Amino acid sequence: MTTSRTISVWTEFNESSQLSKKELGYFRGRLSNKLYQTVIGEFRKRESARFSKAKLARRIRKKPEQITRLLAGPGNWTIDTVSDLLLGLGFELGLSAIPITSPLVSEPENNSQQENSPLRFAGMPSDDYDPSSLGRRQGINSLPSQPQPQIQQ
Amino acid sequence: MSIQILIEKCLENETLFILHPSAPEVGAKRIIYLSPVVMEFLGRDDFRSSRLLSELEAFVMGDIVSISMIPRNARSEMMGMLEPIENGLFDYRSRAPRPGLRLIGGFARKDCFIALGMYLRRTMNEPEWRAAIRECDLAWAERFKKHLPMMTGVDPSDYLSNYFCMD
Repeated sequence: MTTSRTISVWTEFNESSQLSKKELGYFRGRLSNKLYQTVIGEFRKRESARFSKAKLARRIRKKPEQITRLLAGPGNWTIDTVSDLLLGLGFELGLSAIPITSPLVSEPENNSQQENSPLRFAGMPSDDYDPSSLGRRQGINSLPSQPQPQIQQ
Repeated sequence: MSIQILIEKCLENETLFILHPSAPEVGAKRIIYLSPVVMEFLGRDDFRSSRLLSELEAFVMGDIVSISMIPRNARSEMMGMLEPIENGLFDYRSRAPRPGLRLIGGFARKDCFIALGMYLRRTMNEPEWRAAIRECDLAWAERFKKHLPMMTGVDPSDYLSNYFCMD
């Protein structure tokens, strides 16, 4: 029998409460990671179709070494960085705002053999949990950018 | 005695903790064990610790992890192999917001990372960084005896699923 700790930062929306630094920082991190996952996911698809970092660099007017650094992690990305990288890959970002739901987490006091399974979660969905909402929770999708109209000279 | 049994013992005596994602998405793909120091840090109410928490949760959820298997080559990568490579230690690199943090640890098996030390990279010179790696090497030996960190070479797919490597 071992003790397990869960650190929960998910909160119900309460317009009168002040958000903690933990909540603010956590969701900033989540957004940053979602953006990175979106860009890298699309780059890997393009890369498998022989689209190189060098081509991406040329397309968005950066040096190849800058692309290498940017693709390695989202540490210093700005919104402009995301826009440039996605556009270079032929996409733009699709966005939607998703209500924050409660963590649905209960603090486990004891764990069992199951706890060490990578499939185990501290919290399980509540009765009104809608599995179909999982896709929407991602909140960010990249959309192929529309072809630019050709201007006849 | 297998390393998994030793991990269980560490969980019992609270020299290791397992990170359970609080996010409601379903489907953890990896495991991360944390030393008490790291776990205590993650419980703080500040921007730095919460950013690290969100990153580690993404790791557990199986998100893409960028990794460099060449020591000292990692710049923006999330993980990097450390010298000497035969020790099988890696650092998990949390770069934003400053100051950057480094978690040093090793893999018990594929997709199972054990982080034993946490350091502020910016404040460390080369001897201090080497000492930190040595400290984590000793911490590993103290917990897992003859079971060394997984070291099968420099193919990232041995250590991680869903990785991104630009070496």
